[in-house]
Amino acid sequence: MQASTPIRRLLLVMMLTVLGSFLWLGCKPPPPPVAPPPPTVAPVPQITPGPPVVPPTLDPMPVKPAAESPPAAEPPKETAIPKQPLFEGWPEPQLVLFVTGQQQGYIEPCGCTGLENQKGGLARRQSLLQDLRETKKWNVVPVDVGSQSKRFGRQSEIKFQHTADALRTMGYQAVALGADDLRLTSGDLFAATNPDPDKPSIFVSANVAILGRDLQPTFKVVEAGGKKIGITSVLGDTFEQKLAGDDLIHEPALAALEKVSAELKEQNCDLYVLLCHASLEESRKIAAAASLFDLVISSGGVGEPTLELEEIAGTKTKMAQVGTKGMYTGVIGLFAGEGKNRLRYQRVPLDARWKDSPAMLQLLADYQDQLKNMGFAELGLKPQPHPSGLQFVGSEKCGECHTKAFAIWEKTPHAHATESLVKPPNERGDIARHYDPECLSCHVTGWEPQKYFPFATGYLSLEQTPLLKQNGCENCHGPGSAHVAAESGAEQLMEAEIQKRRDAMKLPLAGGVAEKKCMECHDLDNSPDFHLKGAFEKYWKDVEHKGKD
Amino acid sequence: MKIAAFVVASFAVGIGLGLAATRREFSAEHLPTTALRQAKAATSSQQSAQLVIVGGAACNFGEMDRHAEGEHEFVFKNEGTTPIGLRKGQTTCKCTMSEMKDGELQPGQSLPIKLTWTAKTGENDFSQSAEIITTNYPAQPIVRLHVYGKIIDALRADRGNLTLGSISSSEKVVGRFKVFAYRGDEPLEIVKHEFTAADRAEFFSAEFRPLTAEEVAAESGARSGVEATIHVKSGLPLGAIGQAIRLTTNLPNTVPMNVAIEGRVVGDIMIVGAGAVSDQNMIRLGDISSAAGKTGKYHLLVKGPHREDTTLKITAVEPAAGMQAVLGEALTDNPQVTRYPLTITIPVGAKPVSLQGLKPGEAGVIRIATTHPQIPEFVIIVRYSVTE
Repeated sequence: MQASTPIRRLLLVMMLTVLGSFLWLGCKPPPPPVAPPPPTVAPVPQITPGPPVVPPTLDPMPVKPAAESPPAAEPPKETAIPKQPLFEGWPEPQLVLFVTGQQQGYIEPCGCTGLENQKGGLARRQSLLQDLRETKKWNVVPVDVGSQSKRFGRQSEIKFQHTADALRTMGYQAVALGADDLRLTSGDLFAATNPDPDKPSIFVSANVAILGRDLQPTFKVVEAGGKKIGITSVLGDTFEQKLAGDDLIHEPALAALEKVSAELKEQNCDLYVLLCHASLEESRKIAAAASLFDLVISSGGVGEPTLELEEIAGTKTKMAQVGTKGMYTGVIGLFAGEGKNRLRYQRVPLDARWKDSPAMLQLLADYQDQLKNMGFAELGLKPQPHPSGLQFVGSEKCGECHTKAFAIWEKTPHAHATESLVKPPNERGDIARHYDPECLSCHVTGWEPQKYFPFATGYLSLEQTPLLKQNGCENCHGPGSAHVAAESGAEQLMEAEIQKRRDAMKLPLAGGVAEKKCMECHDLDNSPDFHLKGAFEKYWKDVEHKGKD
Repeated sequence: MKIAAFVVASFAVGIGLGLAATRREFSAEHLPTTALRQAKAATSSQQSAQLVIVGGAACNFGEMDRHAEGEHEFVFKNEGTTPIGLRKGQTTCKCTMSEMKDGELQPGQSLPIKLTWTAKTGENDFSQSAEIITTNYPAQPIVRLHVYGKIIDALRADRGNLTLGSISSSEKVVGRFKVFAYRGDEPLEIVKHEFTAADRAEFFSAEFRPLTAEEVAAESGARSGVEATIHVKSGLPLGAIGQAIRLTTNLPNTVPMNVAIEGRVVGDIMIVGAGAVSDQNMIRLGDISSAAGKTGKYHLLVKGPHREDTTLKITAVEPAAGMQAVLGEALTDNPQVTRYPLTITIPVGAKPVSLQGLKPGEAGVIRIATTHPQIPEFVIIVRYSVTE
């Protein structure tokens, strides 16, 4: 027993050593996260131009699939371009502000044809919001800087109403009244912004009120993540001076902000936020003058918001932009401590990585249902005489003589334009849009494409005017009634008059006449790629046809 | 058995000692995880690759004409010692990037990348961007090239449309807007104007005055200008105004400019609030549970020249047993509109009924006597039904 003790001791030490080694391996703390690369907008070193620039020979490299940020709605394509990583290196925020604005009527995504190419839309916006709330478990405070709509009229009022409902559903805490919103009829605007008189409206403004000052809050204090945030909005003087109508009560921005700032200050908030519906230049001036606010969200600027918060010179204030058409959201995190890292900002494109939220899709379906139930008359749309004074006859009538041209047209998407509204060819196929004037104007025959009203004898419905479905011949060539009457012999005419009517139907390629006509529907909003150099020539090849066989 | 145990234990000790001996090689006392390797690689890459965009990644082109084309060449330079992979990324809608093959930018080399764009936009500001993806330069995985500036026209109004808001049918209205010329040496003049909706053109008239030097100077780039004053007579039919003015100017090579005149003509007394259909004097209360009842709050607005003299008083509520209506005191905080709060209550325990029609007898009715000279009685239709 004694003889074996040293060996046993040795073995015991060895076993302990082994065990210790494994413990050493297993008990070390996990490696820290990889240090994030600097923001993609890190200042690029500026250098003075050096020696003559010699283009290098570039070695071909295979295109690699992109790393996508979850949640992915569609599988990444082989040629997909990497999306900017989100919230890299962010510690846990105390709360985040979710900033949007300038929807301008785009409740659905906007951009080149194909949902995968488009950005924006309420349905994607809510998915992002849910991801922040439910996956990241962040305290989210959504705010909007205004202009939900862009046009005037019943359809815009209905769209505003549905957007206001959507904002409430998404839990928006404060929304500014934008210049375009205030163009709408005040009664409808009031009803949409104050649906429940017993609850304060989410629409706040320091200097504008609808009907009565007591009916709209001038500011709001929100508590989130244990912090108090004081929020107000203001309409810049350039817009304020253009307000019209008896029902709007308004005053200059800075005068109103002075009063509201004093009230807000009494609330002793941790963060003060100003939603500034004004141009960038005016927003900067307001931000510099209204010293209370830590953060200003401006509706100014162009399509894409900046990648970083702007520092307002001589103040502590930082400013964010929202872009246009609701294509981006800004997420601004509030973190513990003071100084540079107290606020962090991430611009988030609402691209195809965000799934459509069912609640918002239902809201879009309800919107389309309301348009259907109201009908064109209740929407204030009355068929107007075509400027030519002629009537539409339908593409099939054209095809009786122009058989080759008709056969070509039948193979183009133009020949399915109405069906693409009745049963949209994408994952939103359940929401028909063939009662929506803003869609119909380019998807049927005989409407004014940019003003969204039917011409007399133009399309009215699938049942009433089946021959005027699709984007037919007469949308480019004009109503064919006089030409048909001449050629069919319904009118006995001299050859010169017959020829004159034929000539009137021609749409010349020369001088860009045809191209301009195409662009009435293939406009910057719906077909931006049609406006690139050489695009018309490329598209024309797909539809190229000549007069009679 | 003992020998076998000894061999196994010795083997384990050897492993343990080996790990201990190589511990220093694991940087920062961490095991060699993938993340760490990536971090080290990134650090290494950052140290040896240096991408510089000569002149910066943003270009302010200043001003350019609407629909004109612009271009700018950005020069990428690798000032480091290892190659940087570059490939073409996304561009925004109105921007194209010069032909560029995916590949590597060798140390010391430069690559010019040209952006071209067409200023087709309805806005006055313009901004486009393009992305270059760097495949082995973690310091900047995506380089965003940005062009921006102002778009100018030969002729432009200070607003896209003249909004008049909700206007009383019995009151005349005036609206104004400015038109600026950014070209030409002659002072801007309106040589012809017409109202495009001919069926109601008789209600509209326009007059013009040249802008003062101060007013012109306040608009950046403007050379001259005109203020248009639009007069709208009373008596327009209720509903959308639906008018536009077309202006022809003395400025050469310009097409006539259209400015929409928008707003809604309303009666001198109207009801507003959630569920109110103002142009039909109707309120939709919807389906109401008898056990819960419902209260709706609305506002009666009195506009026009008689707003200060008009008083309102409820004279009848039908059905009297099933609906209550209370008219509050007149509020005059807005001098242009007198506002009366109206509260409608379907009381708890109301008898089941369906009053979803469009006329008295088929719907609830509130009758209000007024002192307005043209509107002795204002009748509100209330559509609702009560269920058990």
